[in-house]
Amino acid sequence: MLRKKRIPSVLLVVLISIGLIMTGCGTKSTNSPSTSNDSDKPILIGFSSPLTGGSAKGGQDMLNGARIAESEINAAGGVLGRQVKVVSEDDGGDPQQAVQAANKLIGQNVMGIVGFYNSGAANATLPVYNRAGIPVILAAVSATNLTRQGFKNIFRIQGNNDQQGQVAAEEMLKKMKAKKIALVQDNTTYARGLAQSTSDWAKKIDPSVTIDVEEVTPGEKDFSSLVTKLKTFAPDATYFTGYYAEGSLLIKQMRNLGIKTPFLAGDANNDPTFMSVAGADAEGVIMTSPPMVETLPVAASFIDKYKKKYNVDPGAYAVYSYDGVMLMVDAIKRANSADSAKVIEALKSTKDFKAITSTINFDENGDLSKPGYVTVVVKQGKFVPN
Amino acid sequence: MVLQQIVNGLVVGLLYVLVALGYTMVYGIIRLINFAHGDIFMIGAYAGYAAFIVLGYFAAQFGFLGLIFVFIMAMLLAGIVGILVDGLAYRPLRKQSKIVLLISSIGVSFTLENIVRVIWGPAFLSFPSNFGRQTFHIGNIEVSLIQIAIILIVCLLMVGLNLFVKRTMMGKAMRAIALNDSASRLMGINVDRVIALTFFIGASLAGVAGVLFGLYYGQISFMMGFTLGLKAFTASVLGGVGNIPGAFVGGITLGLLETFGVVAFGGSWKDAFSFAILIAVLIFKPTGLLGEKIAERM
Repeated sequence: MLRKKRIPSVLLVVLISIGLIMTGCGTKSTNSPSTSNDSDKPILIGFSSPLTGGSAKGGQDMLNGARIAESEINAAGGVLGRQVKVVSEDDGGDPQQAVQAANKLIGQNVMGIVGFYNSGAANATLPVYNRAGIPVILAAVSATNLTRQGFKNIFRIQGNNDQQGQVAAEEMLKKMKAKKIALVQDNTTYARGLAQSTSDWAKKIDPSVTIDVEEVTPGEKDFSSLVTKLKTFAPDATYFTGYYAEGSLLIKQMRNLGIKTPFLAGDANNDPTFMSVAGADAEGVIMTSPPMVETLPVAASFIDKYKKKYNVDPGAYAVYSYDGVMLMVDAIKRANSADSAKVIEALKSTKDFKAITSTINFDENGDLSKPGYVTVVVKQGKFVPN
Repeated sequence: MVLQQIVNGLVVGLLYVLVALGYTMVYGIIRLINFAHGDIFMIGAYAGYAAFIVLGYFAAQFGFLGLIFVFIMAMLLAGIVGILVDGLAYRPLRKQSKIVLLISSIGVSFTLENIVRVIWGPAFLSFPSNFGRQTFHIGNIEVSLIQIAIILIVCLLMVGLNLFVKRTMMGKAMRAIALNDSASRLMGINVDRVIALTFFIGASLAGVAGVLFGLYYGQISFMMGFTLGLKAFTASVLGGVGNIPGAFVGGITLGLLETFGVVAFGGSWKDAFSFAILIAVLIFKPTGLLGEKIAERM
C-alpha cells in the first residue's frame, strides 16, 4: 500500500520541479530588457524606496519627488516621443524586501532604476540589477562600498560616507576642538560605515583623540541606559550616524539627562520630523548633509511645485530622486534609445548635467567627481547653513 | 551613575509592569497567552494621540484636566478594544484547545497592527504633548517629571488592582474562575462577563501604558507594541505568569537587568539580552520568580 502511494507523490515532485524550471526559463526570457519595438508604450523607470517601516516618511518623500519629475517630463511631451512612467516598489528599507522588490521591477521590464534611501537595502539589490544589466541611479544612499564592487551600471548622485565622515571629523576636531568624541551608530550598513570613516578621519586629524563607539538598535525607543553611560564618558561632542527615528529620541534623552555638549548627526537625520519629535532639544543640532533643498537657490520652483502638489515641505531627498529621474531621462535622450545597455553608456559619459542639487559628472566608480558635503544647523526649528 | 541607571531601569520596568499585568490576568483566568496584548498597548497610545488632537480643537493650552481626559479616553478605548477582541476572537473558541486560541491571538495582533497602519500611516507620529519635560536634580541624578509620574501612576494602579482583586465581589469571582470555571458557573457566576471584565481591565492598563510611553518618548508607531509586548510577556514569565505581584516583580527585574545589560554588553545586545533571560527562566525556573501557586492564581 505504502509503496503504491509513494510512486505518484515522487512523480508529482518531479512534475512540479519540471514546472518550476520551465516557468523559471519563461521569466528569464521576458526578463531581457527589450524596449525596441513598442514605441507607443511608455518608457518604464523603476523606483525603489521604503514606503513602510521606520524610514517610510523619507521613502515617500523620494517617491513624491520622482512623481514630480515624471509629470514634468510628460507635460513637456515625454522623451523620444514616448511617455515616461515611474513604477514604484516598496523596499521597506530592508535588504530582503528590497531584493523581492528588485525582482518584481525587473519582471515588469523597467529600463532602469532610481531611488534607495537605505544603503543596506541598496547593497543587497545591486548584484540583482547588475545581472539584469540595467542602470541604477542611487539618489540618497551614502555607504562608500556601494560603488566599489566593480559593477559598471551603478551611479550615485550624492556624496559617500567617506567624504561625510571627513566633514564630521573636521567639524568636531578642528572647529569645536573636541578631545573626546562619542560616535553612536546603529547596526545598519550605512551607520556603521559612517561611524567607521568618521573614526578613521578623526584619528588622522588628531591621533590623541579619545573615541567611544556605542550602538543602538533601529526601532529602539529607550536609550536612557546608553545615555547615562555617555554622561560618564562626558564627550566634548557626540556624532550620531543612524536614522532620524532614533536620532530625534537620542538628543531628547541626552539633553534630558543634562548632557549639554554639541550634538551632530549624519545625513539620515536632516528631516523635518527630527524637529517635530525632538522639539526644543533640536535647537543647535548640527548635521552633516549634502546641500539641502532649502539652501539651494535653484530649488525654489521645485519646492513650490512640491508644496502645491503634496501640501507639505519636501523632505531632504525628494529633490535628489527628482534629479535622479531627470538624469535618467537625459541619458535616454543622449543615447537616443531606452535600451538599458545604451543608457548605461550614456550615463557614464554624463558631462556637466545641471541638476538642482549639483552639476553632475561621474568618476570611474560612478561616484560624483565633485561631491559637496556641508554642515547645517537647526535654528528655530529650521535648517540653516552653519 | 549607578543610581541614575537604577532610575532608568525602574521607569522602563514599570512600563513593562503595566503591560505585563494584562498578560498575567488573562493567563490567570483563561490560560491564554494573549499575543494581541502588545497591540492593545499600541491602540492605547493612538487613542491618547487622537484625544490630544481632539483637545487641540477646543483649547490651545490644556492643563492637568486635559491630561486626565486623555488618559480616560485611552483607557476606555483600549478597554473596549480588549472586550471586542475577547468577544470576537476568543469567546467563540473557548471550548477549543489552547493552541487554537493562541493562533487566534496572533491573528488579532496582525489585524490590529494593520488597521492602525491603514488609518494613521506607516510612519511614526510624534506625540503632541510636552508634558513632564522638566527635570529635577536630586543629588547627582536627573529625574524628569514624567519619570516621577510613571512611577507614581503605576504604583497607584498596582495598589488599586490588588485591592480590586482581593476585596471586591468581582475580584472574588475572577479568582473563583481562575480556580475552576465550571464550578464557578454552577455557583451562578456569569463567567463570560467576568472574563470580559478581566480583558477590559488588562487592556485599559495597557492603554495607560501607551499614553505614558507616548509622553515619555514622544514617538509612537503602529509596530510599537511588538517588541514591548514581547518584553512585557518576558516580564510576566519572569515573575511567574498568572500572578499579579509576580508581574510587578518581573517587570521591574527585567527593566533593571536590561539597563545594566546595556552597561555591561553595549546597546546592540539589549533585546538579545532580554530574550536570553526569557529562555533561561523557561529552562531553569518555569514557574518564575514568585512562582504560581494554583490556590491563589490571581
